[in-house]
Amino acid sequence: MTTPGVLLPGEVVPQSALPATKKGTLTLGPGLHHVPPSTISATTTGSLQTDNKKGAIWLETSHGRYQPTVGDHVIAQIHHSSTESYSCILTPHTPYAILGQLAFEGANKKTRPQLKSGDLVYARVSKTKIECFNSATGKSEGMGPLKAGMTFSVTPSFARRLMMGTSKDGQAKGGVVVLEEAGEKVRFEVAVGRNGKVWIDSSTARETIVIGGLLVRADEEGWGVEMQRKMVKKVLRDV
Amino acid sequence: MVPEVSHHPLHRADGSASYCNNLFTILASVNGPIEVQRRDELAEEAAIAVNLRPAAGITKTPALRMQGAVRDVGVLPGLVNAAFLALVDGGLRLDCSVVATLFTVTDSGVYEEEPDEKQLVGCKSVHAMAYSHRGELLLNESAGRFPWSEWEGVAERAEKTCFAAMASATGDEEMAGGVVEKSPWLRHELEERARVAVAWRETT
Amino acid sequence: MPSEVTPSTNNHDFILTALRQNLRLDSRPLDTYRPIDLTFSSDPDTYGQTDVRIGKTRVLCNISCEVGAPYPDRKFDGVFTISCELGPMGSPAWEVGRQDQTEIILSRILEKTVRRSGALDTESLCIVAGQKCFHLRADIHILDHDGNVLDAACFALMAALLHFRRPDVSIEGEEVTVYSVREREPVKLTMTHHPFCITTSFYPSRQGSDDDLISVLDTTLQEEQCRTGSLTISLNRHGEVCNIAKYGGVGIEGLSVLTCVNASLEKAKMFDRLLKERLAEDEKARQAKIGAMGLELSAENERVMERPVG
Repeated sequence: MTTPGVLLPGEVVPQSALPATKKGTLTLGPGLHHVPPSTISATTTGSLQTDNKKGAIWLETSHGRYQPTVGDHVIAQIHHSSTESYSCILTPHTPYAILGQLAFEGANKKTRPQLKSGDLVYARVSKTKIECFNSATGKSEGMGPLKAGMTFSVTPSFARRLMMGTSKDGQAKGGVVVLEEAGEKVRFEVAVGRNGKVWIDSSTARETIVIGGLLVRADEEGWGVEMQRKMVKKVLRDV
Repeated sequence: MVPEVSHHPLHRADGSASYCNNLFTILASVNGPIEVQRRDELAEEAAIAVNLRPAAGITKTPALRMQGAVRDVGVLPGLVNAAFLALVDGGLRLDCSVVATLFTVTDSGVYEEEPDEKQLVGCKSVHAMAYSHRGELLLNESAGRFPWSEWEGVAERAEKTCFAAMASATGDEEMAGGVVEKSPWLRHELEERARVAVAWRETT
Repeated sequence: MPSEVTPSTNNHDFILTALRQNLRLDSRPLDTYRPIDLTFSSDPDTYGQTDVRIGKTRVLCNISCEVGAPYPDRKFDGVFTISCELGPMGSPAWEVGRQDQTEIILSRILEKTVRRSGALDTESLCIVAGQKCFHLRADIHILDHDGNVLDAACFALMAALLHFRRPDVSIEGEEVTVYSVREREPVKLTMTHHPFCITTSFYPSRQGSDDDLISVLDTTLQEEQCRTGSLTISLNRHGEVCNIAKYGGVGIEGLSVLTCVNASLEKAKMFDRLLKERLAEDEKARQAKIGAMGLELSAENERVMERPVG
């Protein structure tokens, strides 16, 4: 297998590497920057990835602080509230994300959830704010306050892989099978935030610790799929 | 001489790198993008705060540190390279790639690349230079006595060295088929790092 | 003003619930330290530089010295200062030039534990009474903050002091000659005892009650942020206590303090053993390296001889 091209910061994407689409439009993903009229250069180091169907091109990297993108699911921590909105922390030492007091499913002035400093919500990044419901449908779609449980910190790139889902033949696209494998043995709830937070709630503290620990180690130690399967089996046998 | 590099040696900082050459071992870290204090805010660009911390002594701002002495010029290339690697590790948006190098010139006019402690102490002049991958001269600090021609000699060599560090595998050195004189160490380091980041794609 | 983000209510409650069941996030027993690692500079001419890791917490200590004048009121003593300035490398919450609580506590406790307990015999730093002495400086750098920086910093400092060697000097009348490492074998510092800091953190064993406390050793940053109080005991392997510092509002009974001292003694012995082991290993490695370098130097000289001049 040929290794995909790696670019250094500032280097120009060769014309030949750009995906050809019917519409002729190009979607630039992370790590790339458009210099008018027609130059595309790298803003960091990563290997070039393309999706010909979507006409998308991006740099795959493993590093860095999470930077909010519209549509991302995140786990936000309430810092303080005002009459109209909650100010929330997505990553430490960055400006607060604003969550409207009424940006929840079926919320009105009387039914809105009363959140306190330190509470967690599962939310989605919209253009200027974050919200706990799909503003188009008004449905929560799994978003809202997170009660109990424990959040574990992983790298943003690992969180992204966790949310890639499975392909038609049942393969985990992101190469992470820890949650699926563990789910066959233990029952637990999970929410993955692209800001590098994974919330897990199980019936016992011990199970939550074990599952969270497996995720964190899979991320830090770069476990492949086979290793993940082996470790999940090994660790859950002792629980 | 290939420097010793380690990527992301620290956990808390967003990006970090350690860089070790003939003279210094430097640990660099970067946090960002984060919110700055209002007094440091700039209207149209990112505010960047740089702290230099010697193993012995208190933190200094670069302006304080840059006052002349040979040893200070000697440390500059290492600082630039370590900082660049940390910025890349932190995934911060960069406009270009940068490599810095150090040259000394002896009494008899011999150019020495990446000198060691002994060469640094015994030299007539010392020059720290950094080039971007586009060939822009980004750092130019010299100390000692030297004629203009000598500076030109250094600049020419330094540019070659910096370019070699970023050269792609299909570059001239390898095409020549001969012994690769200078290692593209920066490209090797960063390519390796990028490959590790996508290793999961290959296992699935 | 940046400050460390406090854990969410969920995490705070979970950590407490888990501790009440004797569980920690890294599956460690409550009285066990994370893996401790101590390394010295690999350069055989560099003494007194230590790199300590306790789990993800990492502290570097560097000892340096120069010749200067003693304080006029302490003519027979050298000068010994400990500097622990925190910076954004250890945590983005730390700012250069702004002292936060961690920094104040850290420097205060190290000062009491190491300097004021007389661990270093400062009289041995005197060269000419009232005129010349060694100024010894210890710089503590917190490179990575994941809790318990106090125990880690004290260990790094003690290790660095025991590893450091000051240059040898000779005195002829008023004339003082300081010899480089290559000229004369440098001299170890005179230490009177080896104190270590052991921090115990406390958690309420029931919601809203402070009368029954859970004791936990070597807390991670997140655990630390959830504790109701802590006790840092400074003592050596003989059980001689030189300082006890209590932080946090929770009340601790006299008897619990004694229990803590006993538990801490075991850990002080552990630190002491590890330090001695590593010092011996390093000494061996240095001897081997100096031997090898001797050969290398002679080889280099030969080459220089062969090379035509010009």
